Amino acid sequence: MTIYHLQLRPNVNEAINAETLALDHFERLSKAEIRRLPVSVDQYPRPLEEIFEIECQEAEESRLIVEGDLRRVDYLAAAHQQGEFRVLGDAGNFVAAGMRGGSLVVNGSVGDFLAAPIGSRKSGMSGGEIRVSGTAGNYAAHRMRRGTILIRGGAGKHLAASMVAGTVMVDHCDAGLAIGMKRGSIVMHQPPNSACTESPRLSSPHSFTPNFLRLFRSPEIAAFIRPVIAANAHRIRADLTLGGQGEIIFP
Amino acid sequence: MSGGSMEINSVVIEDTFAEAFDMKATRVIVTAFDDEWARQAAMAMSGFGTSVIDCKLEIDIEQPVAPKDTPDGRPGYSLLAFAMGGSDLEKQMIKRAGQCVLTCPTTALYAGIDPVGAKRVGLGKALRFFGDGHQISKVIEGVRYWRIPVMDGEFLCQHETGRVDGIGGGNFLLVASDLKIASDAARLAAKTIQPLADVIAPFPGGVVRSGSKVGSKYKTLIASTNDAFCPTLRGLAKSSLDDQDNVVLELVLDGLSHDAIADAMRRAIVAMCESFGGKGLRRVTAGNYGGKLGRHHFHLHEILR
Repeated sequence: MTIYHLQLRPNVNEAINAETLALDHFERLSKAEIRRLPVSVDQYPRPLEEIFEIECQEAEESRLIVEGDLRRVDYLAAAHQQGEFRVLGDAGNFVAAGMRGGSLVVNGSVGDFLAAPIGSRKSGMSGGEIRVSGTAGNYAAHRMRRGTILIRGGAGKHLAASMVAGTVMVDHCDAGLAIGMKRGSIVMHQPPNSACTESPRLSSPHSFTPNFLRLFRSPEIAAFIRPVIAANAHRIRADLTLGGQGEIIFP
Repeated sequence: MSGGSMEINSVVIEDTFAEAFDMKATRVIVTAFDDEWARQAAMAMSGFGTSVIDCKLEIDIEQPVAPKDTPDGRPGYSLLAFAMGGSDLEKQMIKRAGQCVLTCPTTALYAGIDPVGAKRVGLGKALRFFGDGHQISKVIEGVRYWRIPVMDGEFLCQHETGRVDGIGGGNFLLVASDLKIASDAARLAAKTIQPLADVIAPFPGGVVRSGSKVGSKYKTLIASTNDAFCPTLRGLAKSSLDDQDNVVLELVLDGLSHDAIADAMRRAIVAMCESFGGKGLRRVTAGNYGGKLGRHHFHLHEILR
C-alpha cells in the first residue's frame, strides 16, 4: 500500500481536469509511470510531474492526497471507488463526480456539481462517503444514487436535484432544494429557507423522529447529526410531483 | 470428587454424556425507546420457541445489550435462535419479527451476526413489503436497512442477519429428593446460564420437566415422555430412579459452539451442587440416545474435571 502525495506546483494557473488522478489506477502503475501520467491542462495533455510535486510513501493503507489551491482543478476524486482520497485546499467543480466507493475528505470548500454524474451519465455518486469541511457550490448531490455526503458548511442552489437515493448532510442551502428528488435523505442543521419551502414540490413540515440517523457511527457524521437527533426534528417530503418519497430532515 | 466416580459436594455426577445435534443458528438484536418495550418485544419474539419438535424454532433472549453496544444507541436485547435447517430458520424468524417486533411500539431489529461472508437470514428483506410502497431503503456504512412507516413513526429493520452452524440439545438432568430443592436448584442453574454469551436455555425459565425420549407407542408421535425418569412410573416401567429420587428436572442448552455449551453446563452444575449438595440434590445425569443421533457429546466428567 502507498500514500501518494501530490502538491500543486505554485506556477500552475491553468484549468486542470484531474479525472486521471485515480487511486486504484495509481496502484497499478510504477512511480515513473505515475510521473508521466497525462493530465489535461487547458485541454492539452501534460505529464503529471509538471503540474504536481509527487511523493510516494509505503503505508498500511492506500491514500491519495492532493494539496494546494485547487480551485481550478476539476474532477478530483471523480469515479473514486476504493481507499481514501484527501483534498487539502479548496477544490473546483465536479469533485467526486460519479464516485462509487471509498472515502473522500476535503479540507476546504468545493465548487459546483459535487458528486454529480460524469458527462452525460444518468447517475451521480453511487457509493462511499464524502466529508467536506467547508461549503459546496450549486448542484451538489445532483442525481446522487447512494452513499453519504457531509458538507459542514452550506450548499448552493439546487442541492440534491433529481436525487435518487443516499444521504446528504449540510448546514444550510440556497434555493431550488430537492427539485426532482425521487428518494433519499437531506439532513440540515437549519430549516430550509422560505424560498425553498413555499414550493408546491415540497410538503409542509411534520414532526419526525429520525431514528435511522443513529446508525451513522463515523464520529464526524455522528457529531454533525447529534443536534438533529436531540431536537424535536421535522421532516418535509420531496419532490411531491414525483411521489414525495424523498425527505428533508431538520431540527 | 473421588476415583472413577465423581461427586461435587455430595452430589453424584454420573459418568454419562449429553448428546446434542447440529442446528442452524442466528442472532438478532431488538432495541427500543426504553428497556421495557425492548424487553416486551424480545419476550414476544422468544415465546413458543422451546423445542423444534413442534415450535420449529428454539429461541430465547441471550443477553440484555447496553445502549452503548447496540447499533442505534438504545437499550436492547440479543436473541439466539436455532432451527434444524436454514429454510425453517428464515421462515420462523420472519414470522416472529413480523408479528412480535414490527408490532411492538418503538422497536427496531438488527443483525446480531454479520451477514457479510455468511449464509443469510432475511429480516427487512421480507418485512419491507408491509410498507406498501412507502418503505425506504437506506444503506449506511455498507449495511442495508429498511425504514417501514408504522403508526408511531418508523420501524427500522436490517435487511438480513447472518446464519451460522450451531448446536442444539446440550442438556443435564438434576435428580432431587423433593420438588422445592429441585425447583430451587434448577432455577439457580438457569440463572447461572442466563448471562452467558453464545448460549440459551429456551424452555420456560430455562427448565424442562417433560424430558422426552425418541418415539412413542403412538405412530404419529416422534417423541414421548422419558419414562425412565418419571418418578410416578417407578415399578411400572424400566426406571433410572431409586426410592429417594422423587423429582427430576432438565436443563436444555443450545449454543453457537461446543465450548460455549460445555462452559455453561459446567458453571450451572457446579453452582447447583455447591448450593444444594447434601440438601436434597442427589444426582446429576444427562440425556443421550447412545451416541447414535447427535455428533456432539458432552461428557459430564470431562466437562467438570
